[in-house]
Amino acid sequence: MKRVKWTNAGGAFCLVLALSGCTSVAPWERGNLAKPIMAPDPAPLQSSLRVHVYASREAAGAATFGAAGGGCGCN
Amino acid sequence: MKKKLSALISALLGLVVYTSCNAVESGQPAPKCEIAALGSSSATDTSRYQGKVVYVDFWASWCPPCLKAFPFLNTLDYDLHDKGLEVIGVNVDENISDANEFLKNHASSFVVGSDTKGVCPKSFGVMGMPSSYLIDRKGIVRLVHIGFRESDREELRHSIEKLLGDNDQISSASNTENLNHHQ
Repeated sequence: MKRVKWTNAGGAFCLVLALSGCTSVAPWERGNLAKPIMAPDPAPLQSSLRVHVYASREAAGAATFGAAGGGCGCN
Repeated sequence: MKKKLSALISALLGLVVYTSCNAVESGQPAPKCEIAALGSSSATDTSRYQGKVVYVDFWASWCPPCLKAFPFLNTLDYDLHDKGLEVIGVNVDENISDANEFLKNHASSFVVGSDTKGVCPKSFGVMGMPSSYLIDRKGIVRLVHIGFRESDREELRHSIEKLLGDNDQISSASNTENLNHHQ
């Protein structure tokens, strides 16, 4: 019983700790978040080229790119 | 356990409602907003334009719809300034050099000011970027518009022209009233 209580307290502590990292950002304060470097994929052209090259060398179609691979690197 | 969970959920919902309650709505008086000089415009505040219809637009250099709205604001100023409209663009960039760089590439004929501390958008309760507020000659907010699309042009312009016309009627009616009163 005592162990369960400690587990609950630990869980609550972790929850509070995690929530303390959350904050609301006002719409006019999103300048830094709007920078291209903050995007999930900051360089989409570069990553699509990488996927293309990788997929062609792997001789299999990449799920993300959709091009069929032939191993020749010419697709 | 259920009670605790429902209390937590209602507290979170309360927080959401509280944040949206601060927003200025149509029919409420416009808050006083002091803006610093930016570009070729000098420092000003919105209360200086009492007796004029004011269109306040909150914009930032990093916001693509704000860029789209710029030509619309220039057109409004060009067409309706003489009819009593004052267009004020409040920049909310935290770094003022970003705003200056933006203005170098996108000229503005209307009044532009800066509020790097975010005091004005806070007092207006801006909910999104860009946000625009149409304020009548008595200082009452008549329209709140969040975001900007090309398709919004007509509706916004119609509302502004209607308000300019309404106020003309109101001012001429009050002038007649005053004349009758003096006679």
